[in-house]
Amino acid sequence: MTAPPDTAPTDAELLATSVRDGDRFSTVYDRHYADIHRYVAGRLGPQAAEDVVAEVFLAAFRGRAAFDPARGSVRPWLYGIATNLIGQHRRTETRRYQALAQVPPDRHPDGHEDRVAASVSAERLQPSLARALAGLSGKDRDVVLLKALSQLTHEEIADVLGIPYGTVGSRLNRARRKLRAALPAPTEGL
Amino acid sequence: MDELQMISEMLDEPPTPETRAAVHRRLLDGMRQPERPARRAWRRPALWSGFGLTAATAAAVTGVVVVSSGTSPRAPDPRHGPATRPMSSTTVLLTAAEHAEKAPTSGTYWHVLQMQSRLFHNERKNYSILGWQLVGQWSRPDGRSWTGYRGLPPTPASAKDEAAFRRDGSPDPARISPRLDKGTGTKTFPVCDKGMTYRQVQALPTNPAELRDTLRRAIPRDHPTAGRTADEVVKNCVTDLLSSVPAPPKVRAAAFRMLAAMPGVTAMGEVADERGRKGVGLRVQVQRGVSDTVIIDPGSSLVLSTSRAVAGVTGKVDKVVYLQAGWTDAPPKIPTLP
Repeated sequence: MTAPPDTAPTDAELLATSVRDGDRFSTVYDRHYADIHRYVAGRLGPQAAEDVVAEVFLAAFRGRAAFDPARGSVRPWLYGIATNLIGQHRRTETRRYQALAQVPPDRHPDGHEDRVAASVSAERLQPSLARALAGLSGKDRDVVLLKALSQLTHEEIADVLGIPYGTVGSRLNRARRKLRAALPAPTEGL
Repeated sequence: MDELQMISEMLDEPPTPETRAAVHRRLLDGMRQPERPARRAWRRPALWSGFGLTAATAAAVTGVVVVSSGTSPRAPDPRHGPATRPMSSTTVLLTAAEHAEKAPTSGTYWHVLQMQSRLFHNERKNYSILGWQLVGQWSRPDGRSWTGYRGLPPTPASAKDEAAFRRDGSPDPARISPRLDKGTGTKTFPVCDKGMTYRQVQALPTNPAELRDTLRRAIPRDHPTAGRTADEVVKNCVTDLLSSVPAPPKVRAAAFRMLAAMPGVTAMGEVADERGRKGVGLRVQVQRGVSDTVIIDPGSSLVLSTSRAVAGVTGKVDKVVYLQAGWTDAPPKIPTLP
């Protein structure tokens, strides 16, 4: 007999017990790998991501005894570790945005114009957007990408970065203003 | 489409099964490094894993002390019940130290029989239960070892879970088949997360201060708790030494005396363990938000049970009941509940 699927320990329980039993940590990995990958690979690119994602989970594993459930849940804690590690690869991150800024705008064959209209327009904007992203301050970029790549709530982002809730909102607003300013004015049909 | 969505599409790098596997492999490699070499062998929670469901093994949170004479490990002796007057933690530990010192040490196998629990929570029906397994360990001084398992019926985690658990048909979330495994390689015992062989364990100091220094030095550099003070780490692991490790009587006595001299250990008075055996409860503050409850029978120096409470987690995460510990001539077998 296997367990009923709806019976499962919480992340905090898993982590607490993984202090004594390291093997339990694999479940934490299984649950969060995909999300952390998207976040890290989105910022550093798929090649560098492999190293960094492994480092994130290894750092979490080694620090698991110090995790304090009273101070927040496991997910923001993992994103915090990831954000710190990404901060050590700033040049890789910037190079990625610069490369995206150079993607030639019109790659789609003419015939599919209608169907791909939405994505073409997004792609046209891509170079400007990538350039604007590269131009953001590190602090603003953290907030923007935790939101855009991982859909964290303001509260979770405050947890991840260890900043007040209100600061998340003000950084996000400021950054979005800059991003919008860098985009060409919307054209018709967009 | 807003700019956040555009960013999300522009930067999207979905994981592939290949990257997932590659990263997992590296994680496992990293996890296998020094950290806790002994524990893996000792607990071998293979039977607990692979159920899709997961929970908490109680690793050897702590242990038993004791001692047996002749051929069968000694269970706590009811005649040596704890004194009726409340004892301070120091008294409890020093009394246990005296009894530990006199323990006999003859027999072919060092044997520990314990009941390990894991907490399961049914989210749909909102109740918690403890799954249980009986684990018997036999180790010989030459390094050979055996581990036997037997599943035990689950129990509700607390009185308030009882009704829901019965209504649900008292399901067992992780049924275990009885089996006996022979250990591969030389058996090591967890001593502050360093895997020590039988011989190394015999060489541990018998003076509390020296023992403390040795344990501090035994803490691996990359221990997950390395950021904490050495004393906290030692406090966290000394119970292992008192339980599952075949330390000589004088070393165990020193471990009890060492613990008696450390801050953060408080007596809870007389309490009963899962099996209804009475002992003296000690609360050991392991670190902020984490405390272990250790029930000791000071008369026999046996640790009856241990459990761990973690801030933010309901119920006890690890609960281990020690049924026997000591030297025996009886050969390894699939364990049965005494």
